[in-house]
Amino acid sequence: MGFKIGLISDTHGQFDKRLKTLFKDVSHIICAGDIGGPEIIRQLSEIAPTFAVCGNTDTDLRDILPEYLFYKTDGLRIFVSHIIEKNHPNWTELSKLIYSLKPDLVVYGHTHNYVASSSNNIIFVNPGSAGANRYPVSRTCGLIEKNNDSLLVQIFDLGADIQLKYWQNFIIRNNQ
Amino acid sequence: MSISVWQVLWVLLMKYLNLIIIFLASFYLYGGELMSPIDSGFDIKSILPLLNKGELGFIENSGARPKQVSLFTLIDATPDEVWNVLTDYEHYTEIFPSILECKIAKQEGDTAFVDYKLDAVLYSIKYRLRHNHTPKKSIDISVVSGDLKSGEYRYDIYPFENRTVLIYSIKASATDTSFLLRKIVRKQPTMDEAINISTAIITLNNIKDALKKRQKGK
Repeated sequence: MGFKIGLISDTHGQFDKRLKTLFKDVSHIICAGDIGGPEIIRQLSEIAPTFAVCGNTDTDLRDILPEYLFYKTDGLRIFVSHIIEKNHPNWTELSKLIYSLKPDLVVYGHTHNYVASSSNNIIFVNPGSAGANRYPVSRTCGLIEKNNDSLLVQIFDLGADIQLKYWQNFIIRNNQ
Repeated sequence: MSISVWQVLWVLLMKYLNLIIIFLASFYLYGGELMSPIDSGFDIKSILPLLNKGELGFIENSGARPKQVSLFTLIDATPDEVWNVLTDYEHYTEIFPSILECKIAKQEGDTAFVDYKLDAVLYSIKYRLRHNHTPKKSIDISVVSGDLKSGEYRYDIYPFENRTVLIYSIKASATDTSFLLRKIVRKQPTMDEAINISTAIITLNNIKDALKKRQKGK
């Protein structure tokens, strides 16, 4: 049976009320850091159970949120970290961890640019920034839908109207 | 002799009383024992390099509610030092600021029955927990009686060079701890996982702080 998961990151204290409609059918929401306060987690939790990690600007959430999250649900193994960057000081350890945990999906944020790609049978998704943006890129969030061995990744533009901006269908290779 | 409706109802009630009790109890009991994430196939060696940088949360969605959440942390202390803090019930009020009173009610071999009084936001609650010790390795904690209706907790200790990986697992609903949390969570049941993850991180930080104080005091 298929299911949907909402993906959001870099809200920086801004909660878009339209997420209630966009995420209305999701079983969970994953929040990849730079949240901007516990109130955002509470508002997201009103929609669906929300699992969040700490971002580099979440100094006030450091005592209540983990750095990394590994989540197993319905045959899907998901790893969440705010930063996944090759030039980051943690990259060596982080890449070792990711390739040893063998998740099907890695969710991250930080760059404010949406990404959906695949490498070594692992699907990497950055839903972009859903908060007030410091950069000249549009506000976005993501939605994934698992059906058997396929994972549909959709990125939505949170502009004046919510519009599907990008989508890609991946095959889950079952890394276990 | 005529039998009234009430008599029939009374007989039926007695006959099915045990089933009614089981049905009602099922709302308060969660099936299955709390497992160490390691026992469910989690390879601890793979996560060690990154625990230097921060905590790792692990959630396995088995479909049941509440879900078990586990937090992994690396502590600059030996397993013996960590064990001594975890079993130092007499000083729990100093280790965990939210615990107002704590004392061992009775000890049976490796099992300690511990009475708690907890600051549960705006008022306090009292309860007894059973702590099953596997010395220097793990502590399984379950609710015995009192204001807590249910909940399972577990510590797992793994040595890593001269340090310790401590895993704290929780399978509990916040509705069982405080009137205020019950109000919030009943309105918003999806808050349970977020509250449990936060509780686990706060607990591990309390333990780390206690160990630092003890190491400074040496």
